Amino acid sequence: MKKIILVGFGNEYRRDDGLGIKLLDYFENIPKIKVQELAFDLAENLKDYDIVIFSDAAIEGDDVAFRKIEKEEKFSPLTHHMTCEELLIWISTLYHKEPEFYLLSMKGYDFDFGEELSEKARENLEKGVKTLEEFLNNIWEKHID
Amino acid sequence: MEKKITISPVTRIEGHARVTIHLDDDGKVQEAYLHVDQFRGFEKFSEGRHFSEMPVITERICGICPVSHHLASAKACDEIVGIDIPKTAKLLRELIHMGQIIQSHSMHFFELAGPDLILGWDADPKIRNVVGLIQANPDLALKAVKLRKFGQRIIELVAGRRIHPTFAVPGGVNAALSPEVKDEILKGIDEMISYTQEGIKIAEDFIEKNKDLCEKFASFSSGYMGLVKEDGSLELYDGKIRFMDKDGEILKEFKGKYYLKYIGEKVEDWSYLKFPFYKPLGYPEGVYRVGPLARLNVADKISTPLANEEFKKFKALGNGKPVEGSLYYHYARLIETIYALERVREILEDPEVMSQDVLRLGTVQNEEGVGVIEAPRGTLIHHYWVDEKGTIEKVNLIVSTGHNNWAMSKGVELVAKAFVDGKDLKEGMLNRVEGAIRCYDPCLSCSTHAIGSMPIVLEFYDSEGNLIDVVKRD
Repeated sequence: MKKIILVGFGNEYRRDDGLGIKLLDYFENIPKIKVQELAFDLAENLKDYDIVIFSDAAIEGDDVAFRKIEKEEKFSPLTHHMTCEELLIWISTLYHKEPEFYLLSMKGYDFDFGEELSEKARENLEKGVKTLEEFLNNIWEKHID
Repeated sequence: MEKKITISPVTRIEGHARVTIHLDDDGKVQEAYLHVDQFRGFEKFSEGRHFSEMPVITERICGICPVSHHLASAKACDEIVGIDIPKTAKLLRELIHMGQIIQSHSMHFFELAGPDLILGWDADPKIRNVVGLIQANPDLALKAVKLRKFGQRIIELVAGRRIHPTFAVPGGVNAALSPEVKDEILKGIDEMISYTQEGIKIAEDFIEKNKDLCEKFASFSSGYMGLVKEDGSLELYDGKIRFMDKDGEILKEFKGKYYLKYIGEKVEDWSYLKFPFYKPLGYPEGVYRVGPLARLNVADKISTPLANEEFKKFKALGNGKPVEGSLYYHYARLIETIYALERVREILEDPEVMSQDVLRLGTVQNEEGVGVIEAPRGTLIHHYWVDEKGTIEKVNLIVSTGHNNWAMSKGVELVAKAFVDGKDLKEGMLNRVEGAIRCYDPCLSCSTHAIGSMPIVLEFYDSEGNLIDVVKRD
């Protein structure tokens, strides 16, 4: 059985920025980590998984997008935030491990202060849940076969 | 024709910062500014909420130092209920604060300062990245990960969650320490101190090899502010605020709740972020710095032995005067990390740390409460005004990046004038400008983190405001 973990990130007090966090609440019996932003110490937490699925809000692009993360040698010069691509590089270079990284992004519309999602974001959350369910079911079915 | 260069690290949709560099016809830098768009939204968002919710609400301001906001907020709430919290609660709050210092400082030193100190500003862009950094010293990288994780683990074990804990409440904390948690943390301290000492060796080697650079890079006179204990030693959780002038004279010591009497905020038309200053000296004479460098400048000593030995070396750099070079922030950060690790041991070995007396309940006694703490980046002030039911009527937050606003801009100006040639712009020049900002470890990535494009863009404008060239760094 492949070891899978979900990592949701965002800020639930900035309305639609909390999409990535809220999505995790729909999934039970699977390891989950909720963070406000990614940092390099997560490499230690994720290195022993086969599949890592990140979920986050997006300010642009499709309503829901799901893609595999490829390594990308980037350097964020001033911010504390780390990208999924950078985190993958950390795990690969530091631990010589190659987990599969995926990113589920859901478009948000209202990033003002508050806890409620906008109506469109709620719709995208439902689509995101469905997308992730299908992906997970596909993996588990393959494993059973 | 005057030109303007803008370096704009667009950090999501909030917490933006830009650097604008104004050039003359010969490509020489005339002026440079750092513009930080601080978010004040949380202050408005909090109005109408019950004060007891504030420690949980305000920690969402920042994904890196939520514990600092959590604790500053809890301290403000303690004042509202008029309660002197139990000693054990104070120890446990300080314990997670030390975890916060350890994880934040270690992340900054390796991930952000590391490329400057280990790879250099003029390193090939192909290797000046995470891979290059790890390959240059994989052992150190692994230790940096473990050190940050240790800090996070302290928070997670003691407060229940490594981010956004609900641990500190008005009147104390909501859980006592278990013997298992105490033992697990104690077991790791010596190893983590040795890792940090390796980092200090790197910093000291860098200083030795680059003494002139360290003395001149973004080096300037300013005042300094930070908390100290009653005996004048370094303090990060409690204590009194000490102000020091540019010559090292102590101007004033006062309790945090009187901050409005001594700290003013100047508005400049080119920045959304205000410029704090020491009121008795006025603006700009009263501008000051906070954070690791400032804290070690204002302190007379450090109460833990290993950190104090390093502190003596730090003080020697200034020959009796404040240490002014911004690069020394990196060194100071590591000395504080040693202190935090030693302090963790002291706290855990305190006989009262295992007491079950961790909370005193109370009701609203005061219409105001001020909480002051030394966050990793500097002095953090939370000030709340409430009605008789405890409903928040007004909030004032002064965060460390705000205190250092003037200093960061000054550092950018000095470095730009020293290194940037507008007619022959090179990668290393911009790395140096960014390096000046990095010394202060500003918290620009707070608040929201929705996926979006974040290039660094340099825009050239003529004197009429027309865009004439763009340099983009993805």
